[in-house]
Amino acid sequence: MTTTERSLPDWVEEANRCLRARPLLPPAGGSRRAPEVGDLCVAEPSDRGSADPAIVCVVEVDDDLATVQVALASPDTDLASDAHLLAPAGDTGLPFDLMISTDVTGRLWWLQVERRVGRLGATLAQWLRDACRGGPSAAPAGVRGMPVVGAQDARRGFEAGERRRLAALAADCERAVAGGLRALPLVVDPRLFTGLPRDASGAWAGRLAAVAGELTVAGRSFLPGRAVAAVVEAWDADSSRLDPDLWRAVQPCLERALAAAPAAAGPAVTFEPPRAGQPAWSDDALAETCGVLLEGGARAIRLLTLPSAWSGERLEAPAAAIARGGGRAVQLIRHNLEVNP
Amino acid sequence: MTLDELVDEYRRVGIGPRILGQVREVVRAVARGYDPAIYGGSASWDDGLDDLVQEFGLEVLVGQGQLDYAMLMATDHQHFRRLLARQVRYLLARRRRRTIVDNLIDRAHRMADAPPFRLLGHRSQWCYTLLGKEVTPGRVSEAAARTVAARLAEVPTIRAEPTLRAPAVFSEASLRTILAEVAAAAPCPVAAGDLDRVFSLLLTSWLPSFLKEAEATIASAPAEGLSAEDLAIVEEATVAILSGCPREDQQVLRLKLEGLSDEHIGVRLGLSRPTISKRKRQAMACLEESLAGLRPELRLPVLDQLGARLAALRGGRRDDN
Repeated sequence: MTTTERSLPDWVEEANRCLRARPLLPPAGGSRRAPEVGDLCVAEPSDRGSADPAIVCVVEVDDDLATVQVALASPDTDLASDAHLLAPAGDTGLPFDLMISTDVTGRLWWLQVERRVGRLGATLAQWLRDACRGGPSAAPAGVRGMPVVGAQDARRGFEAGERRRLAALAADCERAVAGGLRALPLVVDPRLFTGLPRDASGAWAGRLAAVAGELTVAGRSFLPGRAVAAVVEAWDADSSRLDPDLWRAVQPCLERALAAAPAAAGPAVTFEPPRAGQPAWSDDALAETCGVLLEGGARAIRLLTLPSAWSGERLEAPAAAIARGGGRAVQLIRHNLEVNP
Repeated sequence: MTLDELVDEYRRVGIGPRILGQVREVVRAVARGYDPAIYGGSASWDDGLDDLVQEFGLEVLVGQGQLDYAMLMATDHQHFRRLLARQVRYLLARRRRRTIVDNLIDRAHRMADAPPFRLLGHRSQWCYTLLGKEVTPGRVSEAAARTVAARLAEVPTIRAEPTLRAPAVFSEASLRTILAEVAAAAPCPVAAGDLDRVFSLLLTSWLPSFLKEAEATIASAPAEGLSAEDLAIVEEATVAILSGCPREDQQVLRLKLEGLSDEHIGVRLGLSRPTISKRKRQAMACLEESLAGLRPELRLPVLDQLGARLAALRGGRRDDN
C-alpha cells in the first residue's frame, strides 16, 4: 500500500518543522568563482561515475595550474581520530558536523570543486592548514578526535578506505600536473591569427614570435587545423622581420595540425565564459580541438589566448575557463599572450 | 522511484511519503541483521522497529543533518539508500555504546562515593571530585573532555563477547584511573553528563567493532517472519548460489546487489565494461537457476542473505561513503 500524506506519523511533522527552520543546501551547479582556502566543496570525479563524490576542504589554491590542494571531509565524526579536525555544523554553514582529515589530502582541478556548499571558520581553517603542513598536533587536541591506539583499532580500515576515496578523485589531476604546467597540452587559440590589419606587419611579427616562443618550450601542442592557413598568411605578411628559427619552432605544430584527422562528430562544445563578439570560424575551430581533446580524456589544457577573445571573466578566476561538451568538461588554463595587439 | 523524485519531495516538504517509505525499508532491512535484544532493547524488531524509525528520522536525519547530507551527495536512488543504511548502522552502534556507557556511569557513581573521590549532589544530579580538591561551579567543556579523553586513550580495555549487552570494558583499576584523571583535569565537579562524553569518546575505537560484529552476524541472522523450514531453504539456496558462482563473478554480483551500474563496477574492479557485462550474465544465470525453484516470498530473503554473505566474505565495507 502506498503511504499517503494522511498516514504520516506525528514525528514527521516535527521533523519537517525543524527542516524548514534552516536553509536548504544549494542545488547542484557550479559557483562560477575561484576556490578559496577554507571552502567546503562537493568534489566531483573528473570522469562522471569514475568515483563517488566527496566533501573536501580547500587547503591551498594554485592559480597557475588552476588546481587546489584539498583535505577529505566526512560526516562520520563518531570515528574521528587525532588526525581529524572536528568542524561542528555551526562553524561551517552546513547542517551536519564534519571531520576533516589532516593526513588524507590530494590535488584536484578547480573544475572538480565548483560546487561550494560551506566554509570553514577562519581559526579552524588556519589550524587545518597548519596541521596539513606540520602534522595533526599543530591543532589543539580539543578539536581533534581520539588517537588510534594499537594495530587492533578498527578505524585503521576506515582510514585506508578514506585514502582510496580521495585518491580516486585526485588521480587524474595529480597524474596530469606531475610534470608541471609545461607538461599539460598547449592549444593555440586561432583568435591569435585574426583581428589584426593585414598591413600591421610589425604587430604580426610580434605575435608570431610570442606564439613560436611558447611552442618552443611546450610539450604537446595543438593548433586547430583550420587555423593553419591563417598562420601561414600572417607569416607571409612580414616574414622578413622574423627569425627563421621561429619558423622551425612553428612548423612541426602546423604539420601536426594538417596531418590530424578532422574532428568527426565530436561533442558540441560551449565555453564558459563565452567567447567575445560574434561567433567566428576561429571559435568553431577552437571548439572542435577542445572536443577532440575532451574525447581523448584531457581534463585540463593550457590555452594560448588573448584576453579580448573572451567576453567577461569567470568571477575571480582570471586563469581558468571551461569548455563543456558531451556531459564532460575540460579546464582551460588561459595563458594570455603578452604582446601589443 | 528515482533520486529526482526524492529530491523534489525533500525540497517541497522535507520528509514526505516517498522519503519515509525509503527510510522504513532501509531501517527494516538493516535492523534485521542486528540482535534486537542488544541493539533494540526488545525481544523482536516487531516491537522496536517504529521506535527505531522515529529515532533515526528525528535524531539522525534531521538532528544530525544526515538527510541533507544524503540529498547532497547521492548520485542515484541506490546510492541514497546506501547512505541511509550506513547511518542506520551507526545509529545502532551508538545505541550499543549508549548501553555500555550507562553501565559505566552506574559503576562510576558507586566508585565516586569512596576515597579518593568525594561524591557531591544527590540522585540524578550527582557529581564528584577528588578529596581535598577545590572546585568552582561549572561544566567540563567539550574541548576539555576531548583533551582528557585523548590522554586516556591507552587505558587498557577488556574485549568481550559480542553477545554481551553491556560488557564491562574497563577493570575497576582502569575505571578508577579514568575518574581520577578527569577529576584532576576539571576545575569544576565532574557530572554524569561530563563522564558520558568522556566514556563515549573512549569507546570510539569500539564503534567500528560493533559495526563489524553486526556485519559478521548478519549472515546467520534469521529473516523476520520465516519459519525454521523456510530459513533452511533460504540457507540452502544461498549456499548453492555461492558455491555455483565463480569467485570473480561473485565480486560483480556483490556490487550489483549493492545497486552499482556496470560502469561503476568496471571502475571499482579495474575491468572493462564488456568483461563486467559477461561476468554479470554468468552470475545472473547462476542466480536465476537457484531462485527459479523457490517460492516468491523466499527470493528476497535469499538476495538479502546473499548480499550479506558476499559483503562478509569481502571483510565488510566501510569505505563506500
